[in-house]
Amino acid sequence: MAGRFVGVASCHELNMEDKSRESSEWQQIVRITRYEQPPPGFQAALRKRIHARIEEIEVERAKPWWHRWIKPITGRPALIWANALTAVGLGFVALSISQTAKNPGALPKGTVTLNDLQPTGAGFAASPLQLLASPTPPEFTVTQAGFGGIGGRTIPYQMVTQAIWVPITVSFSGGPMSGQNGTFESTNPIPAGLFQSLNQRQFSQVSLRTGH
Amino acid sequence: MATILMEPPPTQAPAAIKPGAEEVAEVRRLVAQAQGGDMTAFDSLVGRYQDRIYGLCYHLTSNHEEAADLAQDAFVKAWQALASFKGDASFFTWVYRIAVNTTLNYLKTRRKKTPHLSLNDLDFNAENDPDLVALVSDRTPRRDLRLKEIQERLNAGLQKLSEEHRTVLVLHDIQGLAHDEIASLVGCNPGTVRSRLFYARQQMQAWLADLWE
Repeated sequence: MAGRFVGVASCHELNMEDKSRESSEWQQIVRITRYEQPPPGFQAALRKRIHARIEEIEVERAKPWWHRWIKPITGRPALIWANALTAVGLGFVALSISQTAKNPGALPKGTVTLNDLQPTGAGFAASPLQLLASPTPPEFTVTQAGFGGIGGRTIPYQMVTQAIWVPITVSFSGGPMSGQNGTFESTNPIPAGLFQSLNQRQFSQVSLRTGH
Repeated sequence: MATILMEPPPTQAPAAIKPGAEEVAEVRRLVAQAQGGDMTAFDSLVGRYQDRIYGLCYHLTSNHEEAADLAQDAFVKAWQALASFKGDASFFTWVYRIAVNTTLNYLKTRRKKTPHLSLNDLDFNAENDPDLVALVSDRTPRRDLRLKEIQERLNAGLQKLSEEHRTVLVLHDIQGLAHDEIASLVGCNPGTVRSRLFYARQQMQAWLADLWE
């Protein structure tokens, strides 16, 4: 083996002999792996485990999709609460959106001038246009009889100016300078500051038309 | 120390067993049934190959529990991917490949941990194996203890090897695969397999040198 003193002539021969012997000994050592046996009954147990796992997967696959979503949080109270709150929040948002979507439908179709909008409650002596332009506008009551036959209906200011999804046309005329009449169409929300701008320019006639 | 020559596998090669025509037809039938959702047919396939798949995982990990988990994972993955099995290779080769990949992926995640040996017991026939008897020193009165020690040294040595070298050594010297089969499984060329095998044997030989000095 290494370190053994040998003559040069026999060196190659001995080296080959060593290699062969070590190879044989390596094979002897590796043979031991043939006799490594798992515990008795292991084969049957492994087969059962595999079978059970596959069945579990198949049962899981057959369940509805939401079950997979719920399963990870089962047994974890913090996650359950967090998810419940999220669900309630989402429900609330969905309800709000559905209500908002319904409200535009409640807006009367037709044209109404600002003079037809009378502020409800006391303390609103200013003109409707000024009220519309005020930072905290009140609600207005439609008094025009021809306005869809719904006289007396309350239209919240926010609904008029910010109602989504319903087209609103704002017409303005009667300003101090000729040629300033016009209309503004929007699918909402009406740009902030529009009424303030109209008010500053002193248009005497401003009307809103909702609906298509 | 002198190098170990390339030798044929010392054990009968599990993957190299050539099945007869009847066996091939039977496996094809079972695979077709399993692809149709027949769990009993798949169970039969598991029964046919689980020992060899488990053996592969065991020798790569030197841990009985890990090997059992990996063998289970390999068969479960096979079940889930059964629809994609086209029959280009044999079903066993396909499952074997899944098991190799599963185990190698696992070993990558285990890399930073110290491997924990959980060895199987030696079969009582080991004591009557003439090669092993020759290996065991006559000075050791308790032969079973000596064999156990060799087994532990061998497995500890395997776990000291890098994954690449261990994989090649296990697949060739223990599992009995040919160089080109190993090359195909681990995604390298046969020349690389030979050189890894050479290096792995050298390492093992150095670590186990005192066993035959």
